[in-house]
Amino acid sequence: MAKTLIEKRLEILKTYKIYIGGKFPRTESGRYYVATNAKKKTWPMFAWVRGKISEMPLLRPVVPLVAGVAGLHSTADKFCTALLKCSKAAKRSLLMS
Amino acid sequence: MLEGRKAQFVDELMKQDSTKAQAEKEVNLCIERFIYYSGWCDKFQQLYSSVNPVASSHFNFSVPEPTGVVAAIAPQQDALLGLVSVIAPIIAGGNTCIVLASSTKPLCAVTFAEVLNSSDLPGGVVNILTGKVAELVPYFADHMDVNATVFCESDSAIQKMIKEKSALNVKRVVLYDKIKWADATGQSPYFIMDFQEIKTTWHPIENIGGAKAGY
Repeated sequence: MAKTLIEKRLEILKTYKIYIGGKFPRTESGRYYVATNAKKKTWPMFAWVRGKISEMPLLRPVVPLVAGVAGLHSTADKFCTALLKCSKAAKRSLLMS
Repeated sequence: MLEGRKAQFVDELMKQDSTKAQAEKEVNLCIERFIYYSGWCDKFQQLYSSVNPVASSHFNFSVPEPTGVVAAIAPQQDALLGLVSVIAPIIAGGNTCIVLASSTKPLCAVTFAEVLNSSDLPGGVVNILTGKVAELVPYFADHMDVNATVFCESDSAIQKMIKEKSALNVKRVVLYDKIKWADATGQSPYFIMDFQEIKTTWHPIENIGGAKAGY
């Protein structure tokens, strides 16, 4: 009995959340959907963001903030530095592999 | 960061119907594309700026400035490469973006969010949502705080709706329905310029008592 249980182990799938403002919150809609590929194999569940009671209110604190900083070149530079750093690290490991 | 997770991305792309060779090629291309755009970060301004000759005593110059908040509906097919190719030029130009990932192939997008989160990119610069395109497009196009919308499919009904709604709130609409992201044409500094505004400054220079202009 125990053996069958082990053999039939259910895979514990991750429920993917959304990425807003540097955090991974759950969707406010509370809905999730399952995507499938051509072989009808399903993957983990994904947050299903809905418009009406949407994540848009969630974005509200982010949007003016980012809108404000987006206009500043200094912040643009900061993004660029982060991006550069990111790609340099990628390049290094690319050269190593 | 992307490189370290290469195996995971390849695995996910394979779950999303790519072969191993295709998946590896796509992930490598994504990393290269990021390197490409990060190189442009501090260079495109020089290419697209100008000092303009004017008749009055002004020092007149034009520089590109970020549009602001860009809402992008990522390509449905090239789940990872399309996503990277859309996000990279937006943030390279100093904008922030809200991206709706491919709804049929969202796996890579969510993992990519995890990569971004650990790449010291400030929080809120890239925001990734998952859901159904048709349902969310109106909210993207209607939102008053969003300055531009990107749509990558050739669905003419949705294109029309985005254009109509964006006309009401004077939002930029960028359609990338004919771009082949895997080609060399899938990367160019013009993609950065799609999300830049040219700002011209008239800087008065010394002109006292009818004397000629001087600095």
